[in-house]
Amino acid sequence: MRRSIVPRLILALTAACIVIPAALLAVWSFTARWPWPNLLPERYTPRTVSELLFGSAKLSRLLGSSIALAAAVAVLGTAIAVLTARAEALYRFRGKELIRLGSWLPLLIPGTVFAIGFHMVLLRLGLADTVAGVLLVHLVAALPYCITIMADVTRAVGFGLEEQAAVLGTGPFRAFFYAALPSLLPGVLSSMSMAFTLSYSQYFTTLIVGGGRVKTLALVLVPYIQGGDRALASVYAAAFTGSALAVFGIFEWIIYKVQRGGT
Amino acid sequence: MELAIKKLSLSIQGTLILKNVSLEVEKGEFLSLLGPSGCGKSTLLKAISGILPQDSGEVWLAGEEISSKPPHRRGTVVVFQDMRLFPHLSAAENVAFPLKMRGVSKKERLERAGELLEQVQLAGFQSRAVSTLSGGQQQRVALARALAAQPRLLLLDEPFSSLDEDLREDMRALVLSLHRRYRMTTVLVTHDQQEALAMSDHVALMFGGEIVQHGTPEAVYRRPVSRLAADYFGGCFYLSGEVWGGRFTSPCLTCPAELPDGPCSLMLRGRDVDVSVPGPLALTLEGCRFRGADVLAKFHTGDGTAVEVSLREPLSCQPGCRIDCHVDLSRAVFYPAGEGGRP
Amino acid sequence: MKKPDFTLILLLLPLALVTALVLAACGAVLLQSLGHVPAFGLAGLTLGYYRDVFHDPDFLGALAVSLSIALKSAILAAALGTALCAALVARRKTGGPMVYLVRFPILAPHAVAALFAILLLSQTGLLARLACALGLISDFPQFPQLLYTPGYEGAILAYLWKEIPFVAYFSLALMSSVSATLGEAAQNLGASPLRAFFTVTLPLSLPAISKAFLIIFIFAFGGYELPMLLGATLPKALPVQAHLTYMSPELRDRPYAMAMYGTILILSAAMARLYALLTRRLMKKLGGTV
Repeated sequence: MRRSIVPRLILALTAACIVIPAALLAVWSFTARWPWPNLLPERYTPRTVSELLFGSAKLSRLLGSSIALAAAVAVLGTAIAVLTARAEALYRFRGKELIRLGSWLPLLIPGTVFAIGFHMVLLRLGLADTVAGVLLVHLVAALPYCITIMADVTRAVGFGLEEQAAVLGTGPFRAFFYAALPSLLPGVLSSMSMAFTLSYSQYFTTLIVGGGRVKTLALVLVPYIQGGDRALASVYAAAFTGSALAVFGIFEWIIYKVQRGGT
Repeated sequence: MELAIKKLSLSIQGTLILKNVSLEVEKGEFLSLLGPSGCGKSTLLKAISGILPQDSGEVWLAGEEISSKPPHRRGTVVVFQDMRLFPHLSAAENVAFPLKMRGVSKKERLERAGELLEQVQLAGFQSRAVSTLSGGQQQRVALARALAAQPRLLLLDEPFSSLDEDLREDMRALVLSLHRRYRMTTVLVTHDQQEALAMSDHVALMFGGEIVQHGTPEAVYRRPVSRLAADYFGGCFYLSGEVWGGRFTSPCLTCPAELPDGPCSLMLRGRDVDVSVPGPLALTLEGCRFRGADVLAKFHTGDGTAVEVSLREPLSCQPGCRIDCHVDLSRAVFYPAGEGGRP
Repeated sequence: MKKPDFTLILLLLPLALVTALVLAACGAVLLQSLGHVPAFGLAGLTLGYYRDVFHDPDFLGALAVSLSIALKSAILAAALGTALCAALVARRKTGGPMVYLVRFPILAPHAVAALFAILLLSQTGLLARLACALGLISDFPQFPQLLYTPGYEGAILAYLWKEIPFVAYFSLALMSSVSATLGEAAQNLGASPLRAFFTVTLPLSLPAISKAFLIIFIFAFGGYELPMLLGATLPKALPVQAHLTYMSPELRDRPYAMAMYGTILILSAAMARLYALLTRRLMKKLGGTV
């Protein structure tokens, strides 16, 4: 396969299928008029973009709250994942299969069913139609991925460093924070990045559990796409994708720095 | 010759690992490629088998230049250190794999696999799952599998290092008996000096990506080409002195030396020193240490050179006492200063 | 390994709470699907709603559509995703820009995938315009309709756009390690790269590929956005139909909606169970090391 041209073709085709739609998005965002059958827009305008970015505070507020929500999900989800992974990787007890099943459970339940059931439970708890409720449902959706990432890292790092710290006279909490956590950091960041992206992209769960009162960028995107105004939909989609990529990029950059030995 | 490597150079990610390596192996010969970790011997194996592409140089096998051939067509089979048995196939299916690739019928290839398993002392293991086999058994299946491929060149990449000590001896004997039976050109990569010296027709010593010496085991051990090579085998000490008029003079010893005049080091090994026979080398005892199979006696010469001699019994005299020992000068190796010396 | 102590309980507490919530959510759906909706004055358990729903041709049509979407997209994505993974392994790309590129569709929300489908595949989309520029068609109705069709081709293609990279990325670590060790050994023993892939690398990568298959199947089966945005008015996909029934102003429709959601849940659970049984057999055949 080293000499064959087929892998290169496959990768080139894949790259095209990903880059071209993204480019289209950018083009449509600045389109004023693009009649059939032109291959490129007839007239461009920065109006849609500038109006959205600098016009009403709507988009920036929406962006801010969506990012804040996703960030909260990221931190909480990773924290829970760290604890759960620690239990699974470092302790010996019966019933580990149950833990594994519990971690995987949300993946086996389609999001649509999940959202409906969750909404009903949250109604009982008085958390329906609140941000807290949406945060909870996003958390549950992201948890399997976070636990998978943290389980691998925790197992790899093991208990050795904390043991070393213990015999040097460090208490258990400090041993964890100072000895083990630095080695777990790349996994922690990876898990946060994954959870952030997942929460940021949630639509149906936000719609149902939020009851229409909690608005995120991903939620707002759908009506625009249904609306048929391709330029407007593209701008919002571009805003979404751009912000998601930016946060993802920041995470990756931090991971890179941490692995090089920075911070 | 069967295998000829000509001026092969190879870099990995910008770092030059193999530096202009040339080597010749006769047909049916057993060659050991010996060297410390990181010297490039496994890399050389990978270059020969086509797993890694070389930067420059040629590899000739049975009169054909094979550098442009993909690995699966070279006829150079590697037995890896991590064995790499296919977990989804039984032992017999593993051994039969190369035959399957050649289109041999199922009945025939499984029959042949059974024969080969017998030859590696695993008769009856055909339908065993690979994961149920011990390390030694797995390595034997890997050997049988390599033989099934009827290689023109058999390459063994430190195949015994993951095995326990007692198993290694058995495996070495097995490999040698298979070699004698099939007379296959074999190259063994190892960092175990004893293994290399005991098993091979020839030894190629490798340091830092270059082959520094190539010869019979006796030649490589008794006449190391440089101090580095001598120190690699260990157990040696050096007396520094001067050659003048065909004679080597040092504070501790003088002897004839047919070398040009100039400063020189004389290398001897602890085993060339006989403390029970009186002789010209004056040694002062520092102490004796029991090591199980032998006793290590530590001495120093008049000018402070440390000498270690392996004895069967500890010496009766006290530390600090002086013994004049006999030396077997036929084993002495001279290193003129600046030649083959330390970097 | 440490022995269980009080800290262990604290560590597992969050997961336990979360799992309890998840199970409660499933329970709530199932309970209401069995007719127990006290808020609307319905009590008692009955399978009647399931019975009615399974006699409803609209529901059966929606179920068929969702199963079709899920099966077609999951099978195609598994095959093509494996091919993409093999290409990445062959070119030794386990990290770097190409892998980031492959991860992009995984991170993009379904709505964005739907928009891409519209911009590219609609009758006035980029492909149609290219066809016109190449002289293949002269006006946009001549371009085949891929979106909003009863066969849900547009939705399937959009799912493929997201799922092929998912399968590839999910299987990448396993496939590259198998290929580097056992695939290399196979080639060394005389197998051509292609034969080495099919006889050694692929079988041993199946655990990851099959897990990815399960995840994407369940996702596509229960997915709402893509069939809603790219699908036909009739027949609807099951999650869309269920949601419509859920939002109905008729309170009596609630248990019917729950029966539909219950069906999705039960079928997904059945699929997971089937997967567990099949993989146990698969694992035995592949030996202990994977």
